[in-house]
Amino acid sequence: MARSADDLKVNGSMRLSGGVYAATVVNGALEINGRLECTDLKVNGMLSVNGNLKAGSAVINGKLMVEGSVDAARLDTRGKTDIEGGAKIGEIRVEGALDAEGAVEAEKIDIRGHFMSEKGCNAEEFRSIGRFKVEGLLNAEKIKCELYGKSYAEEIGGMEITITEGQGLNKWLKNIFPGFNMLDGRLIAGSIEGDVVKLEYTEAGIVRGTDVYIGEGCDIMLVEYKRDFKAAPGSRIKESRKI
Amino acid sequence: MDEELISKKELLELKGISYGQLYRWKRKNLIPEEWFIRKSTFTGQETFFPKAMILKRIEKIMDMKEDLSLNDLAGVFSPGLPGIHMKKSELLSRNIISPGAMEIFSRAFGAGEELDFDGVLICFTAQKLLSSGDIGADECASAVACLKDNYAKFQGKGCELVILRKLGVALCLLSGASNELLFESRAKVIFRLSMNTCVEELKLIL
Repeated sequence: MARSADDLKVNGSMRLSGGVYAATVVNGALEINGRLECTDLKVNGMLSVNGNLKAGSAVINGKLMVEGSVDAARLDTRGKTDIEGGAKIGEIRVEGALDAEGAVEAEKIDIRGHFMSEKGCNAEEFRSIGRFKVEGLLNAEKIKCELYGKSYAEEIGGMEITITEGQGLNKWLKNIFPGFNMLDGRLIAGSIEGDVVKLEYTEAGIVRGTDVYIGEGCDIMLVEYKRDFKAAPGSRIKESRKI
Repeated sequence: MDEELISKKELLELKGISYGQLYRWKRKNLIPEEWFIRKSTFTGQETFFPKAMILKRIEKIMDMKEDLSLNDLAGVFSPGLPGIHMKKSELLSRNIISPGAMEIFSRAFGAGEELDFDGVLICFTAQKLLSSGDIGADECASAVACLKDNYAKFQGKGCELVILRKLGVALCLLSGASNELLFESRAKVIFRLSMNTCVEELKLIL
């Protein structure tokens, strides 16, 4: 059987070829030319991998750049993570930003900050406080987003989809100065389909669902619902039908 | 495209399923990406499915849902390779493969005793061809050779095995999923087999 791997600890700046390691800690900057596999990864500073990354759990305080794909049980990013390939990660938590050029697949995604996937995103639970941009389909059992700034998804599908206006500073300022718009939270989507769909401040072509609730600030071309439909007075809906 | 399509809305209505379920099945890869056909209609974008295939698939999912978890189900439908290795003797003794088909297979692949999933699949395909009664042993051997050289190139994306005959000469080809093939009138299609269906059948037997 394979020899058990050694730990890797880098203090300072270093360049290595790829390899298999146990616990890996980077304090400073590390560049890996090739594929990196490790049980636990902790980066305080910067890690760049010119290949695929496979890790048990990864904590990034600073920056992670991966030219290939990422396969991990858990990824915690406090800072920024850029993935040029796809990502298959058990649990993703982002305080900062995560950008993936490939598809992102996870059990749970929790974003405070910014999330982007250029080829769709699959998860059981997708939670975002901040901004996200998904080209293709955002598909999750439960989707819960608080909007700060502009978010975009080509298509959204799932069971429970809840989009709300950001609850923080913006709302507070709006109460004092009606019409205040600076941190305008807004979601733009081509289509949104789910069993229970609750939307605020969303612009969409088509919204389809069993129960559809359209709240304040929405601008929807067509709503198709099966059972229940409510629209807030401050929303614009061009057409709605029961099917 | 002359196959009949069904819109997502009609499908949900017909089968009594919800958007949540459909997206869940899609996420678990129970419904292949290629089946989601986007078309623009007067109400904007709509998604359509190949009617016969999706109805059959959804019936199967709903049937099997009671016995298997969704993740197990995904294993049944995914064309990906489960890490299966089987011995030739086992395939013969369990009557999955007949001695005739095994002989043709061994001539192409050598006498190695252990087969991986692709090997078993090609062997199983040879068995299907032979037992159909329409394909001779030589033609079966050329199909096996064709699969040996080319099947891996589709990387589990699904493909179709087509065997044609014209003026007594047989020709074997592999075509990517959902490609439309048209033939000259004198050519006769003797056999068409979707490799994904074959994979699903095989997984249920193994």
